[in-house]
Amino acid sequence: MTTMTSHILVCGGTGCNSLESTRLVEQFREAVTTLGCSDDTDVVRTGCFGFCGEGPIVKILPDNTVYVRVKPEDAQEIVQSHILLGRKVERLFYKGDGDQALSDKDMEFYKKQKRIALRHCGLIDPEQIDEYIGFEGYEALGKVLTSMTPEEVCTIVKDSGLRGRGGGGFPTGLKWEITNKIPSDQKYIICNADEGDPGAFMDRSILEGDPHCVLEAMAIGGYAIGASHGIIYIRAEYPLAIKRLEIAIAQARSYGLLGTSIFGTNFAFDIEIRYGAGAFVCGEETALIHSVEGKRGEPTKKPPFPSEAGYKGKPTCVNNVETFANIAPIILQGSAWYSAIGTATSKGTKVFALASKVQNVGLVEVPMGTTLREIIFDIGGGIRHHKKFKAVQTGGPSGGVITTADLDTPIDYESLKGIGSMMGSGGMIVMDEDDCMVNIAKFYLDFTQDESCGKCTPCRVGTKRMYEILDRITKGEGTLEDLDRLEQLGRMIKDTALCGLGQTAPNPVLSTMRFFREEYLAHIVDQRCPTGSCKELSKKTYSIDASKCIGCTACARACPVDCIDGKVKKVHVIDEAICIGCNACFTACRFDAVIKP
Amino acid sequence: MIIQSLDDLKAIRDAQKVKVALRSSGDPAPDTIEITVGMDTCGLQAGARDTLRAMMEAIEAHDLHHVRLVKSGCMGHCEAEPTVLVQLPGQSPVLYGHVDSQLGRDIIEHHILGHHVLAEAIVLDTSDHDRRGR
Repeated sequence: MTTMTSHILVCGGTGCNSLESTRLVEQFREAVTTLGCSDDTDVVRTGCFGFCGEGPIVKILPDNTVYVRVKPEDAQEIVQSHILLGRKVERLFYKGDGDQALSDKDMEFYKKQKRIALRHCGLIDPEQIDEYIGFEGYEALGKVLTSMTPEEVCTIVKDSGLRGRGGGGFPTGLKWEITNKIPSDQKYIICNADEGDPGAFMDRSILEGDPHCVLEAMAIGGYAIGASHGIIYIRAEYPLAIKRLEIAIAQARSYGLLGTSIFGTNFAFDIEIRYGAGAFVCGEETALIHSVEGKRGEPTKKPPFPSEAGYKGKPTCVNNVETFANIAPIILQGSAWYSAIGTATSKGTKVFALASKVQNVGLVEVPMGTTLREIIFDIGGGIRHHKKFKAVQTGGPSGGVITTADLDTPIDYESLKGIGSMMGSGGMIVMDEDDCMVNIAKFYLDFTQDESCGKCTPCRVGTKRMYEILDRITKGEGTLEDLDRLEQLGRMIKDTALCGLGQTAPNPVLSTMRFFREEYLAHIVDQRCPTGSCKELSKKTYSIDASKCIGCTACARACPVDCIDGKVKKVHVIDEAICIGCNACFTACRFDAVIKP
Repeated sequence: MIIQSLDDLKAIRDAQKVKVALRSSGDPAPDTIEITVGMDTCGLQAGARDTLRAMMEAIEAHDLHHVRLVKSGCMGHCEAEPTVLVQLPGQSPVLYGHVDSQLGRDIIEHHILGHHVLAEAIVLDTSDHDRRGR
């Protein structure tokens, strides 16, 4: 038997993949072969490490060294120097604020995290079922099938306090119990992998990094509610996640962990994958079920709830990917262990996808009750380029903005609602002083009016009208009455729309109006966009301060429409009639001579 | 192969034991013993790779979970390569010199398992800063 003395773990998630991590793995394999250490060095392609902003990530064990931004060309040097000679390649270390961090234990990014749902991401090879089993995989399923009744499974999940991670926050154990109690010859369990929020990638990373944990939990859920058939509804635009799921399902079948008489019992369960076309509304469970049935992805009124009449009219339980990822640890370690983590009403951990203006873009998992400040500033490393924090949007197009005033709120389902936003699926879009809040609201409304399925009028017409008003305001054509109209429309849509999409669509507008009303007023009354994001309003107002301009020509060279005139070493002038307000000259000038509106 | 019982599952899990131990070493338990093998040019020239392999095999043979075997660069005692640093939790590190495969196995068996220091092979015992040499 050969003895492996080192493991080279390379992130194989979508983010790092797009930065050539596949070629990096090949280069590592080639390097260990040509340098003669392939018999004691294992090259493993894992799931996401979460530190996406600094990818591709490479981790060397057992000394636990993390390398960031590794290029395929670096593989040779790492093997030559680190694996063979034990000399770490310092130029590839993560350098936070000048500090050189060696292991992930020293990195602020990982210090405050607690990984339950992401426990195997970046640790195992997702395409090897044996590695998953090595890390206690499928033991929870074995335990459930051989020593527990379905009711006991429902109880332990209920007692753990686990709530739906897709955004709604409905207690998972209760959902299972309700579906369990409804008698039927056939029931279904569906995994909702239709992750649609802009900027959210938690579910994708779990499926890519640890697909077996979802399969195992679906089988446990199937046993608990009495279903023998599981369906994973995933959007077709997640090809890597789909590929890893297909591999995982085939491997589980070959071990008899899916199929008939699992673990020698009379429990039978199998899973199939259904693809979605990427419609946002199909994340809503009734719309999702219709889509799986081959019908239009449109929601229907509840009740009846899917637990009574869902897929093909049979009792159906729909759970989110991240919810499933929490199940096996709860079964193995008990409900008391899980419910000890988190706040009074929200137990366990939550995965967030940090995106936009934050330093460490990536995936983080923290206990419920962690404050936004800890997530954005301690784990996320603060705002990029030392800009000022302005707001964070949680809950995607259904949530609202949270400002500096609420940064210290310990987050859970209730507290986020209390400050006018919501948990949602866990996307966290961080905004800095350069972001115009009217423009942000317009972006989200553009998204929802486009994604509205069109079935109910409040959502179909209402979101469109709201978008048009916002568009007018960003062009400087808004009136003060528009603000009242937005508020009235928003409230009406919230009260009357059929499904969650419409009921929450006005939230980004209402919350930005509440916290940043002065920005709306600046657009309407002063005809001015304070951040310069709204191009129509920033037009005509860029100018050059003659006392500061030294005539370096940097601005003229940067201008895409050639509207800056001036000779070398002479004061330059902007032709306001041609200027499109793109801000390029402002960025180019090193003497603060360009005056931004 | 079809898994028929929890025992079947455990058999697969056991086959992964060594891999899991190394993979989990990024998160060491408080009682983890760390053994560092100097693997720089001087160490390699003197046979550090064989030493490392022999020690790894000994760790596996004795089924030791709490030992972490790490490679490092030159530890500054080039005259005594290959060098091996043993660090038991709560104790001062001990540096052994001229560690060949046999001595590597002896360190595991006597120092780690038997808590008996191999005094004659010590280059540097940091507990009394007494340089004994060999």
